[in-house]
Amino acid sequence: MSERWKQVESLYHAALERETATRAAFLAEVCAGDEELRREVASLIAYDGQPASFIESPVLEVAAREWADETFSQSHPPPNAPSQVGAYQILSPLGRGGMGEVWLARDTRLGRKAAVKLLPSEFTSQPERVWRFEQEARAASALNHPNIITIYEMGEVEGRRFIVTEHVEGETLRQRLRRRVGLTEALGIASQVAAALQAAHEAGITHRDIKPENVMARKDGLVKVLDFGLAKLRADRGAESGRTGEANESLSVSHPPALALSRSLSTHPSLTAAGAVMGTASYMSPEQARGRKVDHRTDIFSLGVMLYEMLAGRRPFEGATASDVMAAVLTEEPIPLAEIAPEVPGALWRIVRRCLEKEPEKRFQAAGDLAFALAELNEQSGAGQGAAAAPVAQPQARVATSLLRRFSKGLAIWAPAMVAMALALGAIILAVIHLREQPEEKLAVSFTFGLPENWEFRWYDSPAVSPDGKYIVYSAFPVSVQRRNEISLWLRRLDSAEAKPLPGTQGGFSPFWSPDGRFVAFWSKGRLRKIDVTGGSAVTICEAGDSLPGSWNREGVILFAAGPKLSRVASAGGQIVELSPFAEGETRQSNPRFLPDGKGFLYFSQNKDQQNDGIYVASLDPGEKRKLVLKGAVFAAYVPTGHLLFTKENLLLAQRFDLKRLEVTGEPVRIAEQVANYTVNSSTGLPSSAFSASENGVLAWKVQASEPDKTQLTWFDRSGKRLGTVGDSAMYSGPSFSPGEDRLAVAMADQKTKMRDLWIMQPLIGASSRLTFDPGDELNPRWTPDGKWIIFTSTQSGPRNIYRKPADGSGEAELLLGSDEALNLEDVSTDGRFLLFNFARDKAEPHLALLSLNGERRRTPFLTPQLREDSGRFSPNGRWIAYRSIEKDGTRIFVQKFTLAGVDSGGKWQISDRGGTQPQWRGDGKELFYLEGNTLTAVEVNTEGASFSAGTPKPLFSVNIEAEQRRNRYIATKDGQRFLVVLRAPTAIETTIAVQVNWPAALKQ
Amino acid sequence: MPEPKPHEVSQLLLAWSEGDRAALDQLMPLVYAELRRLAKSYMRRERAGQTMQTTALIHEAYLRLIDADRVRLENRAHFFAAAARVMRQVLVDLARERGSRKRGGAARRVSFDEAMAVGRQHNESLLALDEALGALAQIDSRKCQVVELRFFGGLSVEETAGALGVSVETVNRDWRLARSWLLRKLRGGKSDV
Repeated sequence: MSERWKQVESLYHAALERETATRAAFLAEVCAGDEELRREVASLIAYDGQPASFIESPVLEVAAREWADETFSQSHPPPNAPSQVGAYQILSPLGRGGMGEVWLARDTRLGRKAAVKLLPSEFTSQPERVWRFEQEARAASALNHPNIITIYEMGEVEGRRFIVTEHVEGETLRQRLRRRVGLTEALGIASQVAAALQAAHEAGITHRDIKPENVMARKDGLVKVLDFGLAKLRADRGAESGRTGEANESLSVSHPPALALSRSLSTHPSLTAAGAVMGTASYMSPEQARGRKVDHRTDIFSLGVMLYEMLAGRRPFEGATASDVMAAVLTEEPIPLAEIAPEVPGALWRIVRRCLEKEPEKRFQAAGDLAFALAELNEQSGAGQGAAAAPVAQPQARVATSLLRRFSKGLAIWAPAMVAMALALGAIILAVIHLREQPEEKLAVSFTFGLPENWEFRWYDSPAVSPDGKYIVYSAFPVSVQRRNEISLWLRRLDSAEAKPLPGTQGGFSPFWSPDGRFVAFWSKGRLRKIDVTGGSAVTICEAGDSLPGSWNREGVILFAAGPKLSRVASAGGQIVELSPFAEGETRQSNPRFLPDGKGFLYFSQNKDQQNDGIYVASLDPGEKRKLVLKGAVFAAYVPTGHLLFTKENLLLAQRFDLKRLEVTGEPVRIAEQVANYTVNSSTGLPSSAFSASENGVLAWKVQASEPDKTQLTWFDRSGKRLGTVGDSAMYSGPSFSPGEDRLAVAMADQKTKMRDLWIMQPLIGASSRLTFDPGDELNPRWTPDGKWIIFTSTQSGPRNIYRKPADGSGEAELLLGSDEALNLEDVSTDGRFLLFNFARDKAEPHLALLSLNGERRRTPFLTPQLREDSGRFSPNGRWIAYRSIEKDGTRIFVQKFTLAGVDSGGKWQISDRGGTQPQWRGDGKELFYLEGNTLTAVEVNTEGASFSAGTPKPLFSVNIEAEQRRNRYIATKDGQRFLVVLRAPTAIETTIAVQVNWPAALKQ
Repeated sequence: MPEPKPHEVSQLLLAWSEGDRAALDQLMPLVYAELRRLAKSYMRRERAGQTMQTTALIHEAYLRLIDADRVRLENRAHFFAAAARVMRQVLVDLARERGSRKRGGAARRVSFDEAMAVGRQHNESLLALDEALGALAQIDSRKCQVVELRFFGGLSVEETAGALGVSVETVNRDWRLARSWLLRKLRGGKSDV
């Protein structure tokens, strides 16, 4: 045994004794520059604990099993073994599986060999489904694609359906994978499968079961994809024995995923064999694993899995059981190839990773794009051998390549948006022609454009149209990477088919234009900046804290909301000057927009008395009094047609405005619908600008998302990295972990009634079940420490009262505390003896109170009634309560000693300076989390001593949640390493900008 | 096919482990026969819906192959090791033979379903593993022995420790590293130190 090996061995074990997360650092340290040693140990560790079924059980057992199989099949040929099927003379068996037997046969007419597949006889009685399958299989074959197996014939013999295909001499990719597959060969195989899929997808055929067993590789390198349509037949069969496919689909709308999954598995005869499930599960896309409806992008995922396996020698998602594998498919990120197969180029890894995105929207959207990317890589790596290995697919991929290239000049990701733009362009030209030739008959022309795949708008930002109506600027960022840092501003000329990033605007948002259309001002990292759109770098105007768009007049004055008040600054930079003091009762000002004279401006005013909220007119000249012009509106802009444009809910309205008398006249006219319109949050109180208008009739706004209320339970780590999701998107609230963290109680609202019911989910295995069924509203579920009960708030007998119910769903709900007031459960103490809840006679005034559960149930107030507070949480050791204190100037997090001795005895500690909601303790009581705005913040605390102490709060990451509006929008795991956040679902996120050219024409209709 | 006589097997094993190569030729058909018997009983139980008790079956096989009672205690470890080696030899040969039969015959197996592939995969895996074990033996012979005893011999961790005269902990550690090493060799192909 060499010294080197001894070293490897001892480091291997030493590293494994450490926590997974710290191993890499440990190795880097102890190997101190010996890179070869580090790699050797790291690559071994990568294989530690990986399932390897064949080595796990003694060979004797497996050999015996195989032996038995073989002797059995030899002595007992399958009962229906035919000697002749139609014109085919059966020669020998090729294989046998859940979907029938396959035989090698000779076509007695043509003398050629063929493969004959006999479907199980059960299908004969279901002609319709077989017909559907055959249609699809035939359609795929009819594509006459070299990488798709050719079907010679289909028919029925002695009551059994058969399919005859060409006989491929070669091995399946599964067999090929037993030996190492080289990089070039892997690329060749993957591009050929991609080419096959491209052809099939374009014909509307999805394979649904792409896996190494369904890919044949001939000796000369030609690859054939088998069994198109078969997966559908199989799925149909599964559905048949339980319920219909439609029922399954509608289930997945209101039900969390796992129901559909467990159902489809248990009713899946061909999947009952453990090995089959394992094999199939490994290549399932997340949407398949969830039992959701799939489209062609499921094939792209499965191909990604195969490609990963070819490159790495292992599958990206592994587990000891099928459900473990599926859990991995749903929640885990594959180990980067660099760690297990360092020879794989980074570019190829990016391709694989993109195929393996959990959300179909983030994958390659077409197999052709994937083929293109692979071909390009092959070209770059100069892999001449690649062409030999993939004789057919290469040229095709190249055709696709050059087409795409010609079309997009490399900007492939913008292609969808560009198509929309090209159409829009036509529309604009049309509009302009109309404007010129027939000025009396102007048309309002609308069009929309979307962001490229995997891009998102900053969610409460609106696009800004330049004053001349030629440009649109907006903020967007890629979804998948660390988000905020990559926000930047994009500029699009409306008569060009391209958007380009404005250099130096990283982190930029809330853009608005200078009146001459030369500059765009925007916010970035607490600074107001401006950039010359004709070229040049961004410069800082002032530092004032992030805000919403301001307004820039011809004298170079910029008005903006600095904190709660409007301020002005010169566009050239300089002192920030607050405008006049608040009017009486006014609490907040924002959304300024200059009127044409550059002195008067519109703005939104928030007041103590909500009745006074609305759009006011005021002036830069001191002494002029403000005047209410639009009650209840939050954002308005004046346009030269003599109108105010403003939003009401999701409508964009226009109403005549008299500039002299400063008042609106006539009735508002509807200009547009589905305008995305948000109030950012209540603590800063800034309603977002919802639209933008040029001076010459061009309007732009973000189109409201299809399901703005939908949320997605999403995992994040401490750095804000998205780890995965739990369940389907739905209207979730108040997630709560069981003491063992294996179950999750959550309230889910019915889409129509908005009434919530409680569900128990098991995120690891993807199962879920409904806990409450009554028509009332159930919310705020919390577990008892023994995990046996769920305590919750319910309106089942009128006002919100507190109930409990066994977590396994057995038994009825039992009233724990009834009252005429609204009671909201907050927390259960770790010893299970106390409940913490808030109560309010009128909605504005929550107070916390305690209920002892032992013996006589006694209710005790928590703080003096003068204070208002909610979101209380017991510390894990039961000695402290963290809560949100609601004060006039905002909310703050406090920690108070938990004592029943009397209110306010024992002192309290302020945790957050300003803002702060939803405190949560880490399981060991050494850290406290809370939200500050949309930023999850952590602070180290000491709960063990006689007195409480806290460190400096550190922001962890920001997420898109309307934290201030609601309670219970996230939970931390006990170890404080992961957070489950109630996030806006993809369908709740806007990705489209609508533009209307010559909108005033709509006024005449 | 003759029924193996435990006494006979024990003597042959002893002879083989002492260098008598001819003993192996006599051993093979005996082990082979035992395997066949094992397979049949496996099938029977499986049909009857019983779950396969792997360890019980293997121990049964050992009892039949090796007359454990008659072997002196200090020699048992030696026997197990020899038995595992024979098992490896027999099974690998078998896999090789089946592989070549497949290649030569007309019955080329094309797997249309995962269910088919699960069993078939073993031949090739076994040959590859045998090769990888050979390489491992060059670097660290004890780890190779641990795998041989556990995987080919079907011994438990405790039995393996007894057979090698090392602690259970050492067997566990050896197994863990050997497993990672073999997996990497089989799947990743990364060369050794």
